Amino acid sequence: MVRTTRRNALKLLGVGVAAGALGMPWVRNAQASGPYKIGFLGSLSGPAESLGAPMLEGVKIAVEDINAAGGTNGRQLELVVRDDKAKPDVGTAAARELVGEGCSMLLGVVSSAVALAVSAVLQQEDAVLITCAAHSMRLTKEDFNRNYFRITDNPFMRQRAQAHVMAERFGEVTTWGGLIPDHEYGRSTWECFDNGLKTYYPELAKAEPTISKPVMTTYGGSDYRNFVASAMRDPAVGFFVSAYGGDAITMYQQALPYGFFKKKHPIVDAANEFIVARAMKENFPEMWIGSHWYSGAFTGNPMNDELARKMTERTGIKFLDGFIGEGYSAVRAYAEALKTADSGKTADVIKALEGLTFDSPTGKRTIRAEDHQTIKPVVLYRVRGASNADGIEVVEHRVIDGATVIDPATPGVKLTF
Amino acid sequence: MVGDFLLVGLNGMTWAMAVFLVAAGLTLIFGILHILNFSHGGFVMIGAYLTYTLINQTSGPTGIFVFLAVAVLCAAVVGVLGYVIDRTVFERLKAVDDSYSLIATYAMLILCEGGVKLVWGPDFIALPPPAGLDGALLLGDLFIPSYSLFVILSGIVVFLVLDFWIHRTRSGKVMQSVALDPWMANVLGININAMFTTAVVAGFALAGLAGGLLAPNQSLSPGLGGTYIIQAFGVIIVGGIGNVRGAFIAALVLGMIDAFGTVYVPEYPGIFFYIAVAGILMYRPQGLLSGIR
Repeated sequence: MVRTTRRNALKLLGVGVAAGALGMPWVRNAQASGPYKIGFLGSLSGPAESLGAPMLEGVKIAVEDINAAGGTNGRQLELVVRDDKAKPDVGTAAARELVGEGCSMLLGVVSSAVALAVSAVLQQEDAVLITCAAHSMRLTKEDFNRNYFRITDNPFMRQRAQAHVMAERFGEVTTWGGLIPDHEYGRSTWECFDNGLKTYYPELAKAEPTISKPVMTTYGGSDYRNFVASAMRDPAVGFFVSAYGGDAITMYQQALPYGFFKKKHPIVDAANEFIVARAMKENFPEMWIGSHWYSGAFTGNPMNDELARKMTERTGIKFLDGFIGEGYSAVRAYAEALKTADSGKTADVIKALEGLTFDSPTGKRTIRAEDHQTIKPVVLYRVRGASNADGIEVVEHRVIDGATVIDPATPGVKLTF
Repeated sequence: MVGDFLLVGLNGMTWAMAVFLVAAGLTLIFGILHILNFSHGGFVMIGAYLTYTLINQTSGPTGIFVFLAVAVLCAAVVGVLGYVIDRTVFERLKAVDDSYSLIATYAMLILCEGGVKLVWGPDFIALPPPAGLDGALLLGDLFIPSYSLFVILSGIVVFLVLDFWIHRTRSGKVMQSVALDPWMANVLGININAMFTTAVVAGFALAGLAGGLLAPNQSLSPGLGGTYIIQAFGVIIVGGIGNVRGAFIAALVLGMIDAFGTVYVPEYPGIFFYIAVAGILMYRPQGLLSGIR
């Protein structure tokens, strides 16, 4: 038996301080009692704020719902929030801060660059990250690590689903072009869409598509007229655009007077949700847009309906962005995983998340055990400007079963076509 | 082929005049006060947001004259802001090292972004062109967006007015003398502080005007301040810092190089602007023209 002397007490104190200083994960990350701490890491300022803020709202609603229903394993969820400013270095520092505060379960992240940077330090920090929007294929391919999970679809699923719908609905449009920002995400979305066209046109439209070389555009530019003019000269009729946010608004505004949207049809927008449509209102040209979650597509699912109602009540916005649904789903995934990993230890949480099937606003989702990519429905809708109070309307939507368009699980191996 | 060539040239001109509109105020302030105003883009952004707000107050479609009147009003409002900033910030920067100016003006840019976010929120906003500028003229096979012609015309008018003021009016010539030798100008009885303030107010008003006129050209967001500013700095450096004529010529040269480069070497979009800036500065490090002209 150890005697309680001043010397022994000091020794114990020294060991404790050293453990904290060295970041001993078994000391910091065990969540044996009290609330389960979940760390939200997302863009709450800077260029991606309008994406990160709604994601956080979805997270908050999920935490409130779960806590109101008694929590998980009788324990409440506690949310700690940090801003990554869409910058990899800030994101990494914020992730470490969160872990330091006892949040080994992280979620959020809009930017792929931030996700890649944070993912690289997860094992060292003994933490788990579920991203809700970051779309880089590298996260579940060549840069995969076991502590990283993606709760939403990826470009392979999203863009192939878009190509699937185009082949099904516009079989007569066999010439396709693209307006693609010259960065990794832009090129990745185009490769996946291109692959989808080549797969689904012969199968569904019984025709071989003719695909032009895409027009590569600048990122964060102020003038897209020459890119639009190049696209106008292209013989392709259907066009795929993966410019994002403000760039897309600028491009579409500058393309309107050229009659681009009258000459080129259909237009497929990779991932702008309602962000661009809400900004342009009645001037918004008709196009098919990919989304993480669209409440109108899952009406009748109580979780979906309740989330949409609460979010519209809070913001007054009728056309909600998909980031909300993904933030909500990530919390639901953790809550479900904690039922079997009640210690909250990272290794147990990872094990519980692998292969987990859980309820979400889009219905049942399953996290693939091999590469931690979630199998979920892929949503796209046809939107256009309208003379109503909102300035826009959803004409129709399509939901594609994620299992039919997903990439093979090949963690550690680069995606090739 | 000729049509394509003309269209690329026209797009290059549109880019050039848009960037010149932003660069004009920046180069004017540097020419007189020798302060590189990093917050300039922030005030262009405020001009754009003010225009958006005022246009939305008008009922029905906005005509060209209403749009112009709103842009001029926004220029006046931002000019008044310029006066306040001159009294509170620039006045204190005259006697300190350049590094303080950089820090102070960068801080003002951050304040502008924060202010815009507080007032208008972080979401993207779009302002359509006014009625009459939302279509295109068709010359043979050539589509010319009316708004592009408006931007080109606006850039040329602003240049001519500034050039006339600096070279053909007494106050402009006095301004040149203050820029060249403030001590001697002071000895000769010129109120140099009043001239400094005039330059700042004019520079800020030009920022507000650029924001207003270019608001329908792109998306509005709290990050708008940085959208044109790199190109604007490129233009004033190549033109010769502080030189309005140089900025105008540099905008045209860089606009054409960027436009033709983008179309005829599409694998490297946007890179030709930087190559041109580097190439020109290698041969003329002082810029195409120098001094306040």
